[in-house]
Amino acid sequence: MDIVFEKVEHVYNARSPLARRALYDVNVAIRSGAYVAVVGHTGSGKSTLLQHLNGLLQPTSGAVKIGEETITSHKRPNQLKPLRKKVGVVFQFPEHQLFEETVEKDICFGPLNFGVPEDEAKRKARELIKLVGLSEDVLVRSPFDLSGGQMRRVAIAGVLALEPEVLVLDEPTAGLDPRGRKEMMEMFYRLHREKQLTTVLVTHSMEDAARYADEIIVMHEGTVWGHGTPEEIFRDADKLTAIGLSVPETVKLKQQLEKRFGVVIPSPCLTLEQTAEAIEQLFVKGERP
Amino acid sequence: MTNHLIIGQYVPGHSVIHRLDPRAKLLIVFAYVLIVFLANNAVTYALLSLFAFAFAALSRISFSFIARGLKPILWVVLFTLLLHLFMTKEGDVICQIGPLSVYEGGIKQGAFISLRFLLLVWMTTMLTLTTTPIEVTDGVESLLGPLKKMRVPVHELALMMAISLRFIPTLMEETEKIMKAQAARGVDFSGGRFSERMKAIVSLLVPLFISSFKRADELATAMEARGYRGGEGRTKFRQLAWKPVDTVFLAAVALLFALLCLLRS
Repeated sequence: MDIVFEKVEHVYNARSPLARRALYDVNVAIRSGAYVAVVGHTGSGKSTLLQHLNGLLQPTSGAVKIGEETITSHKRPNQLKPLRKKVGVVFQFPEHQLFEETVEKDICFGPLNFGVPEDEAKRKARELIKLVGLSEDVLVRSPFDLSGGQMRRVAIAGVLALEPEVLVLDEPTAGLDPRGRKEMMEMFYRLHREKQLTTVLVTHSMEDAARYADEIIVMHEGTVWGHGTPEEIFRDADKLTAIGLSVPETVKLKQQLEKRFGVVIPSPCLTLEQTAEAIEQLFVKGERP
Repeated sequence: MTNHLIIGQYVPGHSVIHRLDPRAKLLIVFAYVLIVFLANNAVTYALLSLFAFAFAALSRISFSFIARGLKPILWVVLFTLLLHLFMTKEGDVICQIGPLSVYEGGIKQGAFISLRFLLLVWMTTMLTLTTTPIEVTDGVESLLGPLKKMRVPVHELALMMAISLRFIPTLMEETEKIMKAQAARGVDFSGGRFSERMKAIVSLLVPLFISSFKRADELATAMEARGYRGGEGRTKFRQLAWKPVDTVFLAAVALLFALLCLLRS
């Protein structure tokens, strides 16, 4: 499902003394099947942008096209529910949305709201609990007896249970330990490929953006500052630093090496693996007479 | 909803009313609320209205802003007015509409009661518009101070009030966040059958309660970690200072009281 933003503007508390413009002149297209990372400083409009993806917010001017549906300031689809089923959103700290007596009921909550039969929903819950890396006997426990990390996995399973075509992730690893972080990001990447999802990841981690995303959207002060492949975005480190963002550590290492040894490294060095390879190339070159 | 209701909202300013001691303001408003009931004729009501208008004028908050805040209670006022128009049977009949007849006393009563109601809300709104919640709490604590001798936990009550006020915006924010998260999972908060609505509300309230309890627990720990042990021997960051102007305003209320006693019929 393609998502297209056309001149989108969003003003909170419009027509009141408290009016605050959070987004303006946003023109961006997210093509079906892409893994897109949205990065930006706190308050740059990332979260507002994200809430336009499933009609939680309507633009105050401009249009958002999600698949067949178009949402503008004065028109929204009569039925937002089908849209909400197609676009699954994992909010920041999703464990705060748990409320049922058992983990199984909580995972089934979404599908049941969308009219999935109960036995089908339960079957899905069993499948998903394993997918998010928990064992099946967690299903009968109360979600509030679980650890923070486990709760988050359950909440994510609850969103995945909707079988969305587009998965929107708002800093899904905030507050997790490094290992949990890596496991979760790998899980989302696996899902992205296996289920041919369109994934939109809002993140502060440039490393994650560089490693997983096909495209990066850089938000700055309410509008799109840059949009391109990780290689394009991270090419100019100084410009990113100027708006309070940084480049991945590996790109910094590459720049240091280039400066120190006066060489040009052709690789973009977006991941550890790429960087190791690039350094190996340097050594090989160096050995030549 | 919050856009229309201005009762409880603070409008920053430096007017003489803003700078009054919160204790003085609390006493003025409390006394006013009591003496409003003394008025029973045109002169006394005019006097009360004059006082309320003067109070608002001194605060330099625009009348239109205060009037906008009175809008939500307009329906209640209108209802009272109509009720009195048709129910009070005193004096001459003014006009007859079918089986209903309007008496002279009804018009008078209706107008007075509505005005009384508006004045009450007007003055209490003025209090919250010109006084920060923290000031109100400090004022209440100080005024109730003598009750400490009777073992009333005044400080604790004031603290509870301060904490509740502090967490209203947080709770609103949290509610909005959880509503959005559940809406993304297919909950419809605006419609549906009764059973669906109940389920929707449960999916909002349970997370809200859980995070509130958690927050209360964290707050208690944080307070203890910083050595909080209750009101005993505790000094205040903001010292309340009674100024001559506070006495003058209280004297004005006393004068109003005296005039009302004289002029009421």
